[in-house]
Amino acid sequence: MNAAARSEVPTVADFARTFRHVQAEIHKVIVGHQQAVEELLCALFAGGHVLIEGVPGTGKTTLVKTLGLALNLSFNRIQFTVDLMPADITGTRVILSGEDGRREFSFQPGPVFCHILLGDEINRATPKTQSALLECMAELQVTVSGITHPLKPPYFVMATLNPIEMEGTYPLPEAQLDRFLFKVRLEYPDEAQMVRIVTSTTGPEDAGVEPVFSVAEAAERIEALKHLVREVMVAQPIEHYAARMVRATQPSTSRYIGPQSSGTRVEAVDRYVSFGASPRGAQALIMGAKVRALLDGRANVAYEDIEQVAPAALQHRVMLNYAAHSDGIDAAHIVERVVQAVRPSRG
Amino acid sequence: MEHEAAQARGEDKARLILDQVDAIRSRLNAIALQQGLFGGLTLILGAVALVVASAFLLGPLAFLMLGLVVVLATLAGVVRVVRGAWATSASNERAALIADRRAALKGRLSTMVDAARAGERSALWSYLVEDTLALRDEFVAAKIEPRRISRWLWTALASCAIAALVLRFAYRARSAQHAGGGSVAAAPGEPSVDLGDLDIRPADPSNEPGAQIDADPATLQKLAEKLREAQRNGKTGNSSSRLMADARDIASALQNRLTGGRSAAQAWQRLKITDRKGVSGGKHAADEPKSAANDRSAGGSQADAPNAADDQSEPNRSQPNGAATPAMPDMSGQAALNGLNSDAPAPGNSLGQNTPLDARRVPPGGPLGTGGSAHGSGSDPQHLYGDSETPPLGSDTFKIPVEAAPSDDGTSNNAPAPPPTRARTALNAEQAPDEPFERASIPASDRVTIQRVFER
Repeated sequence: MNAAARSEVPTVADFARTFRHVQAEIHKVIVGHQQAVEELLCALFAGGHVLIEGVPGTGKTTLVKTLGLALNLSFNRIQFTVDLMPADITGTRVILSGEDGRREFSFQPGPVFCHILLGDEINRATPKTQSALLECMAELQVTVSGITHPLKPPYFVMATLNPIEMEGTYPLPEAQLDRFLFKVRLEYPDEAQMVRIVTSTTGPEDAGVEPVFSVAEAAERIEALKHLVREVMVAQPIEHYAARMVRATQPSTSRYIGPQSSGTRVEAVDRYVSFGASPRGAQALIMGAKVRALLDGRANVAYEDIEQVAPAALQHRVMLNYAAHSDGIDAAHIVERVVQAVRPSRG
Repeated sequence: MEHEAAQARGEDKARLILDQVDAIRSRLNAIALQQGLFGGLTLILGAVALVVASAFLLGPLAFLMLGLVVVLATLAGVVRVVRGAWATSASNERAALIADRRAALKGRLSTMVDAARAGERSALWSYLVEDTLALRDEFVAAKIEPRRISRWLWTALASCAIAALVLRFAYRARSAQHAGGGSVAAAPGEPSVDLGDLDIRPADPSNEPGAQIDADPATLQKLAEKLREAQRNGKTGNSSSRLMADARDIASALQNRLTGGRSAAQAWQRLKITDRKGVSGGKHAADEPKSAANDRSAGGSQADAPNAADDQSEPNRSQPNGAATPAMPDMSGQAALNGLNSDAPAPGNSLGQNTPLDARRVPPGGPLGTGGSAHGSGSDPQHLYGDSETPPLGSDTFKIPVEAAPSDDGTSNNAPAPPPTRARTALNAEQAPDEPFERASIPASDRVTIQRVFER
């Protein structure tokens, strides 16, 4: 962090202003999807990664590209296919000839070396390739041939999933799903939105996105804002609330967890969930809630913040059983029930 | 220096906020305390009122059941109210939480209290203090908890009022009972009791011992059989019935204590047993010589009746003026009723015809009745129930405790119908007053039975 950046410690108002600015720039291109964009930015400033789910043509790739443009950060896109190998995304060692004619192995960075990475249709790659992303996402580093190469912060991975065309796909393992802070759904646009999409994309000019930050300061500014998010205070009752909510996603009969005598028992969870959210779910709740609090001009987290981020933070962490699939119950429904069950009484 | 001053100002502002949270906590705790006190008082007073009222209104077993239910419910209620009050009592954290919710502060106070307790100061602490202080008017104690007095006060007052009414009623009823204690024996009513329908059970300890019963042999025979049966049951042991009897006794004793000895509904009355056979009409008593002879012989065996001397003195206590009542042989059935109906003195005093000489005493004010009307159950209301200075023909007066309330474990459904309403009409010229007749002597075989009855 240079001197100029250090002198500019962002305030709560700065954060909200910057957030809204980026949001507005994105919406110059993206029609609708207000909640999805907000959740995407929440995850970015919370320091997490996002799984984007939507049917084809809903703007998943466009959204990510627009975000990269608005933030003025380096951006790479990987189209995951079944024959994609891990080295294709992490980079590999190649033989290069030096000026003196000597040949030596040199590391050629893969597309993961950027600030914003779009993994398009990640479920089309093999688990081996999918897991190559794990180290990047969790530890911001890549190890190739025993040499660890750090990634530059901010590092933000957005992976898209196509919920249809499941043939020939490899569903993401739970461990990898858990590493995504939020799962954002891009809903199918309604008629008015469709008209706006057609109008804005078939005209002679594309909507121009103005970068919010300059290239030089973008990374530092974003890191400073991410640091501010971590300064937001959380009262103990609210931490307990988040923990209670996450524990409530576990079925009471689960053999993987201890007795939940003091926990909240949710009938729908017992019936339809095979395994609930991990402690990463609680972290996601708190971090997302902190961003929400800053957006609301507060330096503290409220119960409402937790409830607002709960669907995005928990639904991809809840593993449903066959009964849920046969009854047409989805994870969003389960999370909604959990939130209702653990909601503190208003008195 | 400037930084330290700013920090001190920030701490002062935080202190202001925390003091306000303290005020909220105090108010919430005061309300919780009131809730516990008034809630408990409400339940206890309500229970007392209910128990006292039920002591007057219900039979022993119903009273016992209701009392148990009320006591248990009250205990549970008091525990619940106290626990509720305890649960609503607030620490600083809880007060902050409540204030956050009620003033829609979105966790600002909770966070401040939590951070102040932990001693951690985030980079955003000063922002939080300023932000919360700007909303200070929203969380003054009076806004968070507008009440100074718990709503339970009103329920407690209502409960007090109800309890006062019930206790006043109880006090009046007890006073009336004490004032009219002597007149219970002289209470109007038909002194006809079918002993066959009486239920024999262990004596109530609060009852006076040594009650005497005079009745015709058939009735006494029935009594003896019942007594034997009761003793058999007592020995062979129908434990549930014994338990019921014990429970009933306990309930009665408790009820008596609450209602001042004997409740109005269950007053022990001194009654005279009359022969059911005589219901056919006293005028025709002479048509039943056998019965009359039996009565005479019973009356003649005064020496055989135990405690006769005690009972002779008993009626005097119930006569305020101490007026001696002419001793008369027992009348039965309609004869007695006819005797009740004739207040006017009859021309011929037939006392001397059937009464022993030592029993023929005329009160100073003249004879109270003639013939049948001067009998123990004769025309004088003071002596309707056989109060006489000298029991006629020995011990033919008696007293028996009778529960006047409907019994919930009665054994008979064929209780005698209530006697017809009395109409006082003067005798016409062709009518003659009832002639008393002597009682028959008690058969030797019945004497043991009578003695055992007396002993109970």
